[in-house]
Formats: sequence, structure tokens, C-alpha cells
Amino acid sequence: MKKLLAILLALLILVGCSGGGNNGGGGTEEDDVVIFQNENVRKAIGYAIDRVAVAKSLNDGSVAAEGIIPFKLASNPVTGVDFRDDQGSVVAYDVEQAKQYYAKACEELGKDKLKLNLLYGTNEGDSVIKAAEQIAYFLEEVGFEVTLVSKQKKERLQLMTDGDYDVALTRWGPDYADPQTYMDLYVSYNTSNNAGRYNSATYDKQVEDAEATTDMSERWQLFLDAEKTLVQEDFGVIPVFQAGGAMIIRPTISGIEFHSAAVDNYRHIVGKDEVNLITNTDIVYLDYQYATDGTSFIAETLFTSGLTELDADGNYKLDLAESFEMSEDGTVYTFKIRDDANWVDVNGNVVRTVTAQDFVDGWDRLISPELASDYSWWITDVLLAKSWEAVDEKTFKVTLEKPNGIFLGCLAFPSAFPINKEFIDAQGDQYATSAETILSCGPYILKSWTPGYSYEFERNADYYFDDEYTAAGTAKKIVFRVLEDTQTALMEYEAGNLDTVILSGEQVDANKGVEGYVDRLQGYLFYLSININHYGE
Amino acid sequence: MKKYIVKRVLISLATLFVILLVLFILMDLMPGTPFNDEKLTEAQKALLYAKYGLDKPLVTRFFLYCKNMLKGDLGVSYAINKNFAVSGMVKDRLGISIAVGGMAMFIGTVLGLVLGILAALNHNSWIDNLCSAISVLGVSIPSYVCALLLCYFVAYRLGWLPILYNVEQPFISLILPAIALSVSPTANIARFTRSEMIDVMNSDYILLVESKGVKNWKMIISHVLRNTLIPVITVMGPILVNLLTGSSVIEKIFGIPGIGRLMITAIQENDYNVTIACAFVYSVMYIVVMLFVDILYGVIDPRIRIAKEEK
Amino acid sequence: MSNIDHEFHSDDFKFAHAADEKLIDRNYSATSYAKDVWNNFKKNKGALVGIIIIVIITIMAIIGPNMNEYTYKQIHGGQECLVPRIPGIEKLGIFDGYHNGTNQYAEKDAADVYYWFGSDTQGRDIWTRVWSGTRVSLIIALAAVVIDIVIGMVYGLVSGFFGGMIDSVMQRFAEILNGIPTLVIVTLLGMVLPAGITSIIFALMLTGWIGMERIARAQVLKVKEQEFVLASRTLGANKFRIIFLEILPNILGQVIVTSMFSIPNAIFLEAYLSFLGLGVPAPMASLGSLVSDGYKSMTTFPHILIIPVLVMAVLMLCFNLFADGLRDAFDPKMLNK
Repeated sequence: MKKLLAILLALLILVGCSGGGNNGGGGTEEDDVVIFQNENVRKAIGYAIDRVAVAKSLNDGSVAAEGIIPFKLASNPVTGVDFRDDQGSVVAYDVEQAKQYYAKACEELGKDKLKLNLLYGTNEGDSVIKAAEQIAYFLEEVGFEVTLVSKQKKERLQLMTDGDYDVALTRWGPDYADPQTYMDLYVSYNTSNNAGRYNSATYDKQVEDAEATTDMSERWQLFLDAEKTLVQEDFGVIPVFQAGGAMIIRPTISGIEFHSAAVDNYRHIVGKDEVNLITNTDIVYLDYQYATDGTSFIAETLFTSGLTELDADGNYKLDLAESFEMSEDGTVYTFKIRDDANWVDVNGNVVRTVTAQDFVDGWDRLISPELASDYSWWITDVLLAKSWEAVDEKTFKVTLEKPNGIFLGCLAFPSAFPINKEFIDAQGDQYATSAETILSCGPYILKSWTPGYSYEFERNADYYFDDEYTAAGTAKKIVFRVLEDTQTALMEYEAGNLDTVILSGEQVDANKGVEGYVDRLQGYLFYLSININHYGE
Repeated sequence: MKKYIVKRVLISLATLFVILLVLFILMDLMPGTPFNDEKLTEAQKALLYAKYGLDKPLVTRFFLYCKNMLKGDLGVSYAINKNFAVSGMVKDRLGISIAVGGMAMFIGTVLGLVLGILAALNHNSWIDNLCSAISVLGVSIPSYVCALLLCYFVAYRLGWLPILYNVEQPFISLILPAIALSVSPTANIARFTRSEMIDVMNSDYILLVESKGVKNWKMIISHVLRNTLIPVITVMGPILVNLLTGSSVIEKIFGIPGIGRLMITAIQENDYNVTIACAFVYSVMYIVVMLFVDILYGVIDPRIRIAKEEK
Repeated sequence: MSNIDHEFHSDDFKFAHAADEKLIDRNYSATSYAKDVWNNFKKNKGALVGIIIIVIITIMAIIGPNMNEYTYKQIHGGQECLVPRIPGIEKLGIFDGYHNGTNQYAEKDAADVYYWFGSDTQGRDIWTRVWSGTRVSLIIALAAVVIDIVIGMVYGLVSGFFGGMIDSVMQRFAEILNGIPTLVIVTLLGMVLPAGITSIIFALMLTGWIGMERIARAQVLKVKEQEFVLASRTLGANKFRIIFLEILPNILGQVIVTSMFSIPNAIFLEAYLSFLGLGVPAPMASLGSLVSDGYKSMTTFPHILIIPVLVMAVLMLCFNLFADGLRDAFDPKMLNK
């Protein structure tokens, strides 16, 4: 009997070892050649990828990247031309050249074949999986031996933080409409974001100079140059595609405003009293100073307001601020907050008026280390605010380090919204965990939220409505339904129970001709991060 | 018998404790943190770790968790619905998963038994072959394919039932998901019932009963079925647990806020407390069902009862 | 009883057999157990058909991917989602590349291109992918099932036969392992083990054997009190002999049939594993990953889904026929009939 058990145990262990034996997914360190430090390796990768073909196979409105800065992110402060049009393409697809660089790299490194692991996330959308397969295919065409390493997003990020990868398909969504949101990522001292440890003194200097200067057109030129250094000369990152988003919006409704570099605006929907919208992810957190995802932000811009909001073209317009004054040197802004701006609870009862102190409290809370918000740097690094104070009940004064062209637009971001401090303190841990534990000061009130299922907004009767929108009659009720499966969602749309639907790449061809089909461009730019210091296999 | 049951319950509790510990250790081994995010710096991550007490040693956290659990506090979610009490999240979603799973189990058991018994009674006839083919198809076509087919034809084309789950008509809108979920259990139960029943009908004691002249239907109910059900119950236990704890794909297709989807998201998001809670709900159900099956076993099969009492 | 008033005569009885009939003692050659099994198996037509189709599919899995000029990972930009088109057969009006009344191939500038099973959303040949996927799935499923049977059966046999303390401990261990959701275990494994077929088999095995163990144990409990076991015990057989020579053949049939049904589970779990990053690394295909990929196109280009599902269903049907035949063949009760 004992013998039998022993045999059984031995068998289990044996099989266990054979399965777990060849552990260690990353590169081997026996080889002391760091292949990605070889410029020709990176050039071979850069030239190998047919970005147009990748974007086309995704078929969801994604477009081939022409640089690390996405389309429609920012425009030249003098001429108003889009960054991408100003710069032109800084990437190219050329198989012959890629093969030449590959051969050169092999020669220099003394290898017959170059192997690399391509890391990507499996739960970051179908387009990422498809794109990874496509990229691997194109790299293999040139001669690389590619192993696709698929991981959950959190693990992918951990591997990247630890520097345990060769090449990773990753993305960055712009926080604000300025090249800086991308350019900051790859300076040598940004240890959080520059996972590949791209290190170029030229690039660092260009970015630093751009951020230091007050001359807007010089700044612009420096960013153009910096992108060239990063992408075209050094191949420090390999841009691949800019995410799209195919949707159908029922032709009877209009007013959903998409922004590629800011939060989409759902405040101005007209055409129907009650609209049923789709969302493929749920709200993560109602605390707008803590949230990080687009879905939460969209919901938060409905029930709260900032000093400004964005119109359909992405230009700022005043919201809770009635008026503002800017000092001559452009560093001091004084906002007058609307008298009729109030905090209301879930039932629409007015709690009290919105004061300048609420903005001070909000900004103080955002930057406080205890909150550990992802956007704690918003006030100081993006708005460039040095100090802020409540002059009187309705007057809010901000002093900037230097003039900031994007200041007013960036006030429309939920991180810069006011808070009702005594309410938050009273709620304690419960704050922002349900419709009842938040206050509204925006055009809508969150009436209910069933996590994983739906959340509903009703128009806030207390909110001042712009003539423009009251006249048109914005929707009285907005219901968001959380649905992940695109095929049943489309059926539900066709059955008339939904007013918008998100399409997967597979569904686009069959629905392109449908009335209401929209091909939007999102801000997310997907690129290959090359781990310069990693030992290739 | 009473002593045996008490002993089994105590052992089950100990098993659950061990499982909870294992879950805790497994969570600790997960790579990445709930706070991995493109935009969060290392310093902020450390702050969050401290804020939620994740910087404490594993043993401390485990006993703190156990202590809180006895008070009904399962901690808060770190990533899915930040700061939500996990107990509330699990409670809301478990109810609906149990509803769908229960319906599916009912359909699966009834259909499975009927198919299995029909096949066994008509052994080697076309009915038998048909039932076998149905059960083979049932396991080889994934439930999500069945679900979408049902959605498309029954709900979308014919409009007989709602396409998606609707909180206002919970029963009607859960029929399709329950049918889709029941396909594989039906097949499994049918197949198992059939082979068990054929075995039993060929056994000597049934031949004896037959030769004693007991009427056919009476024999089948009181002798054949009873002996067939014993092994069938053993396979039904785990099937039931799997159904009640939700199926993430079915929930995704029908837009059901169930616990299956919650657990998958929690695993992907490294949301430790939610993962542990969902997994532990599964464990509790599993252990309880197995305990129940074990005890039921004794009730149905006198041989086992006696064997156990001897010990 | 009345008196017998009957008189017997000499011709009242006659020999049952003709006088010249010879009585021959027939000597049967001793047949081995294996031969008995095989003879029994041969008689079952369904099982034979099953095994023949399994062999055909296996052969296709070996040679199929090399039957045309495509490879499983070759991407053809611009030739996405083409429906099946087979030279020759297209003239019959089926598999002619027409989708919703238009010739897709002509539309996509590929008039002289043939994808026998069509192409997927990335312009890869489904024929090649299905057969190479079948190859991968067959290897994974069979390896996982064999290991399941071996571990699960031995575990169940030992646990069920010895009972008492040993049974308790073994059952508690299985309960703990099974009480943790499979997904949690395999997710973790996915992070520890490198992606590859060995890891998948290991992950499947780690969680798969318990179902088998439970069935084996239940069968043992049923069988072990029966007379033949008692007889064997009385005759002084040792435990090893009783377990493996007396009980095992009696439960083998049930175990084999059960294991056949765990094949699709293994194949689908594998598809989930590839989602977690533990499955066969993309762009390599498996039946499970083809089905879960095809699902996304189910309402627009159903052929991408239907073909792998069909292969899977046929394969399963045959495995099942085969297993049924095997069970009957193994059954000692059937052997004597």
C-alpha cells in the first residue's frame, strides 16, 4: 500500500517537473549581446511592418500610424495645422530595406537568426490580438523568429515595469491635446513610462527645451524635431496604428461629441427623450478625482461640471464659470462662478451652492498623496498651476507658472472638477460607491447604478442650460447598458432597444452601409516598445 | 448516521479553512498588482499598497481577513468597482447566477434523465442512437455557440423571448441563457444515466427481480432507477456547482451581471479580494454539495451506509 | 399419482443421435484476453466506423496542412473572410465562393485563388489552420485524457478500495484541489509555466483527473462488495491483484467512456488557456481557439465557425462510438456472451 502511494507521488512529481522544468519566459542571459541596442535591429523592425495592412485587417476604423503623435491630437498654435500634417510621416514600410538592415544586424551581432519575444495583452481588445499576430507575421517575413507572448494586461504592465520583455505592443492614450502628453514618456529619466529605457541626450534636450520655452511656435518646432529623433532616427519606439471605433448611432439622435484627446461628451444628446446607449465597460469609480478610465470619465462629466467644457470641435466654452479674467502676461486667471450653480443630491434636492472653495478643496485633494490619484499631476504638470485660492465665495483665482495655451481646455477634465468636502467627509469610505453617495453639479443626475448591468441619468432640473441646448431639448433620460458581446448587442440595436452599438471589426463590412454608421478615430496610439537593454534570445 | 454527519461537517469546515489559506497564497503569487496601470507611478503604487494594508505580511493579512470574514466583511474591491464592499458585490451577482444556474440544472436534469432512460430502455435501437448523438453533440458544441444560435433564431428572428437579460422581466429573459447553459449538463447526465441504467438492467439482481415476476414499470422505478441514480448523483454534484457559480461566456453574451463574469474580471484585474471571495463562494458551494451528495449516497444506497457505520 | 398401467417395449426408445454419428470433443484454442476484446470490438459496426473516421481525421491532421500552398500563419492582405471555394466542385454551385449572391473572389481580385475551406478574418487559409489545429488538439486532448485516466483511475481505485482513513485523506486532498475553481489554478499556472503544449497538458491534467477519480471511486464502491471480489479475497489474492486484475477490468469500460467526454472539455479549456496566455501561442491554431475565434464572425461569416465545430463534432461522435465499442469489448460480462 505504502509502496503504491509512493509510486503515485513520484509520478505526480515527475510529471510536475517535466511540465514546469523549462521555466523562464524571458531572454537568456548567457548571451551577452544586447541585440536591441543594435540600431539595425530596430530599423529592421521599423521597416518590416506594413502598418496600412495591419490597420486594414483590424477593420474597425483604426488607421496606420505615421508617427508617435496620433492624428487630430494637437494643431500648430500659429497655423492651426494638425501635428501630423505639419510633420508628415516619420515611419515607412519597406521590406527590402528591412531585410538589408536585418542582414546587417545579423552580421554585426554574429548571428544567423535573430529571435525576439513579442509581448501583448490578451484582454485589451480583439484588435490588439489581431495586430500582434499581424506584426509577428511581418517581422517573420523579414527573417526574425518571433514568439508571441500573450499576457493579461496587468501582468503585461508588470513585465514592462520590471523590464522583463523584448518587444511589447503597448499603447498610450493622450491626457490632453498637446504633443507633450506623448513626448514626456520617452525622456531618459521617466522611469515609470519609458519601459524600454530609450536613452537619447538629443531627445531629452529637445523635449526639455520645448517645455521651457514660452515661444509657442518654437515649442511646436522642437516637438516636431523630437518626434523625428525618437521615431525616424533612433527607432526608439515603433508606432503601429491609431485605434478606431466603429459604431452605429441611431439616425434620430445626435449630439454625441467624440474627442480623440479628451473625454467624449454625452451632455448634448438631442432627438429623443430617453436614449439607451451602449457601453462595453462598466464604471470603475464614481470618484472623479480617482478615476482613470474613459467610461468613468464620460459618466462623471454628465453628473459634474468644471469651470469649462468642450464643444463639438474640442474648443473650450464656459460651464460653471460665468466669466473669467486673464492677466496680461497670461499667468493669472480669475474665474467668476455662476450664482445658480448648485450641488444637488440623487433626488434633485439642492444641497448648497457651488463655491470657489469647492475648487480649492478639489484641487488640494487631487494632489494629496493620501488619495494617490493617477492624475495627481494634472494641476501642476498640465494646467501648470502654481497656486489657487478662493478670493470670495464665488471667485476662484489661479496663478500659473507660465502662460499655458491648453489651460482653459484642460479645465474641462474631471480631475479639475470641484468637490463638496463636507459631503465627502460625511460619507467616508462609502463616498462614490453608489448613486446615493455622490452629489451632482452637472447637467444630469445619476439616478441609479447596477454594477455590471446599467446606469441611468436624469436631467438635472437645477442645472442652468445654455440657450443652445435647452432650445434643442437635450435628452431627459440617458441609460447606459453594459454589454460586452458585440453580436447580441447588434441584435438588440436592430430590435430597437438600443440607440447606439459598438461594432467589432468582423461586423463592420456588413454594416458599413447602414444609416448612422460612424467611423470614429480614438486618441490611443499603439506602438512597439523596444526594450533596449534586454538580452535577446 | 448522526455521528457520521457531524464528523463530515467538521471535516468540511477544516477543508474550507485550508482552501481559503491556499487561495490567499495563490493570490500572493499572482504576478502584477491590482494597481498596475499605464499612468500610475511606482511611488503611487506603494502608497496604495499601504492604504489597503497589502504591505503587511501574508499571515497577518490572512488572519485579519478571517476575522473580518466572520463579521461578514470581505474587504473592498481594488480594481473593478473601487472601494465597493466585496460582500455586497458578491451577494448581488450570486443571486442572479443561482437563478440562471438553477433553471439550467432543472432543465438539464429532467431532459438528461428522460433522454438517458429512453436510450437505456430502447438499448441498441434508433432511439438509443438518437439520444447518444444528441448527447455527443451537446458536449462538442460550446455553450456560447448554442447561446448565440438561440439568441439569433428564437429571440431576434422569431421575437419569442427577449434577446438580452432584462432586470424588469427576470424570469422571461433568463430562459434562453438557462437553455444554453443546460446543453452540456443534459448531455452529460443523459449519457451517464444511459450507461448506468444499462449496467443495472444487465445485473443479476435485476434478473432476479424480473424472474420473480415483478411488473416491468414497477421494477424500473423501484429497482433499476434507484440503483442508477447513485452514480448519476455523483456527477450531478459538480455540474450543479459549476452551473450555480455562473458561466462567464453566457453572462457576457446575454449581458447578465453574474458572478462568473465577476470572477474572470477579478482574476484579470488582480482584484485580490473579489477573486478570493468569488473563488471561496465556489469552494463553499462545492464542499457543501459534495457533503450533501455523500450523505444522500448513504440514504439511497444501504450498502454504503452500512459500510460507513461499521467504521 | 395413479398407477402406471403402461407397458414398456423395447422400441419405445431410440437413440437421439444416429448410430454412426461421431461425438467429437472440440478443442477451442485458448484465446488471450486481448484477442477476446478485439473479436468483440470487431462485431460492433458503429465502433468500427468510429475508428475508421478517427484514423482518417488523424491522417488529415498529419497531411492536411501540406496539401495546398498555404501555411497556417501566412497572412494574405485583402483576401479576408472569403467563403469556401473548391476547384471542380464549384461547378455544382456549392463551395463556389459566392456569398450573398456575389462572387467574393472576383470582388477581392482573387479570381484564380482557391481557399477550400475559405479564409479567416486575417486572410489565412482555414483548411490549413483547421487541420493543423486538429493536430494540436488531438495531441493535447489525448495526452491529457490518458494522463487523466492513469492518475484519476489509480487514485480512485486506491481510495475506493481501501476506504477508511486512506480514503478520507485522499478524498480531502481531492476536495481541496477541486474546491478551488479551475480558472484560478490555471490562471496561476499560466503565469508560472511557459506557453506551450507541455504546459497545457500539465494544466489540464492537474485539474482533469479529479472527475475521473470520482467516477472510478464510485465504481469501485459499487463493485468491491460483489461476490467475485469476495471470492478472490477468500482464495487469498493479494490486494494488488484484486485491485488491478479483478476490479479494474470491471470499471475500465465506464472509465473509458467518461474519458471520451472529457476530450471536448480539454479542447475548450485549452482555448480558454490561450486567452490567458497559457495555450498554444498564436498564430498557431487549435480546434478550441479556432472555434472561439470563429464565434466572433458567427453572424457575419459563419463558415469560419462552422468548419472547426463540424470537425470537432464528428471527431467527438467517432470517439464516442469507439469508446462505446471499447467498453462493451472490455466488459467481462459481455465477453462470455
